[in-house]
Amino acid sequence: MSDNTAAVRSAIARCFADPQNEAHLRQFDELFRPLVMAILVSLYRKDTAFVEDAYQSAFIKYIRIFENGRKDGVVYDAYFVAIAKNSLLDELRRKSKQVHLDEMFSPLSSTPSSALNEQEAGIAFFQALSTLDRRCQFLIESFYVTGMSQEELAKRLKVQAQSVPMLLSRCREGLKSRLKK
Amino acid sequence: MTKAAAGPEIDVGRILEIAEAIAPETSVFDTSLGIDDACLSAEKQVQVLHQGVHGEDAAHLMGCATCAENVRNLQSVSFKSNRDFVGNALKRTVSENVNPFKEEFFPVVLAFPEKMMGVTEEEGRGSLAFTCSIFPVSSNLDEIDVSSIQTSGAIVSEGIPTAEFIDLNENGSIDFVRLTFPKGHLADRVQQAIGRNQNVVDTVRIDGNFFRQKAKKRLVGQARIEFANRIDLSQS
Repeated sequence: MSDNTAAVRSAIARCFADPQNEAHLRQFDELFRPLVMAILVSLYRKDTAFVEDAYQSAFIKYIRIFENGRKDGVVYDAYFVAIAKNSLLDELRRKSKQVHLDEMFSPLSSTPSSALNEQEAGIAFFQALSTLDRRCQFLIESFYVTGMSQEELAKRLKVQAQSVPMLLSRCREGLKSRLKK
Repeated sequence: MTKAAAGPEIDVGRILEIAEAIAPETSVFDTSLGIDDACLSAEKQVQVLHQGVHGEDAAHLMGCATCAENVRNLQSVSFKSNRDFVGNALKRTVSENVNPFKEEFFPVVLAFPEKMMGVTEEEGRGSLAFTCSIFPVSSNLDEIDVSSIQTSGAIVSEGIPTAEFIDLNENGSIDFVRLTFPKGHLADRVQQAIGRNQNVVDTVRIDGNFFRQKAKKRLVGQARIEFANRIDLSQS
């Protein structure tokens, strides 16, 4: 684990200990913001203007989570990144941008007993996506969020364009199996 | 104006159960953000913007369109929230953020081929030719006034650099600019350290102007470089 990751985790622990402490929240923001911004701009490459609003929305959710108290076993930095990514999707939807990713959430809301609302499904989706290999994450995020064409994906991955649908299909299956766990 | 809203309520308890069940094994900040595991992580990208880039990372950045795009995009967002951000978030009202670089500066990533530069005492006094690259945030790189670009700090450039505009994707847009300065000298403090056969880490800064900008705008960037006496390096 890098020093920065350790520092972010310590800052998160301090925020849980005293969720209304503005100095602790500031310190968390200073450490966490540059890193999550890097992740958000890599997720949506078309227009970075959305990421600021997404981060603001996500930060309000972080404060609520701090107020709810810490739960053992949860990797909060990864969870917070999933929340920020989902907030970016919300911003895109709010600005009437097409989000093709929505079709990926169906397995999460199809079973009545375990149905998640759109917000919850989105966070769970990004949490699961981060456990796939990097190539799959890139394929799914670039295709479904940024809207990158199959030709461009093929160029970046240095594969034949006709291979892209098959690669996407494999990655989708891998993701679905994680989500159904 | 309040731009962000908290959004629909989420069942934090339910999501925490999912977060616990599906947790990545490695830190999300240390894992690649590009096409494969060789690409730069969030942590590396932030480091690149703060400290410049050298060696393997510089070589990767110059050959990978996705990482170059990620770094370029990251340059356009502010790394610091505005002063009232946390206070307003606590009050569930968030104010509009302002990018401090937006009006006056175009930040660039300054890249050197190696993290360590071997220099002789004679070169350090005024005959130092060197090459570096810049990854600017602006998409209109052809508007950079190359003749205005100069370095300062640890290396003070002399004369106009020759510029090579590199299009990684071959899509008609320039991804970075490779600059070769015919001549330059080291700052006195660096020369003295080299003269004492000591290695020294110092900051090289770069700046320059753009053509056809209504307001005066400058490109700025910096990198940390270790300088060593080349004779010592060859002996060791």
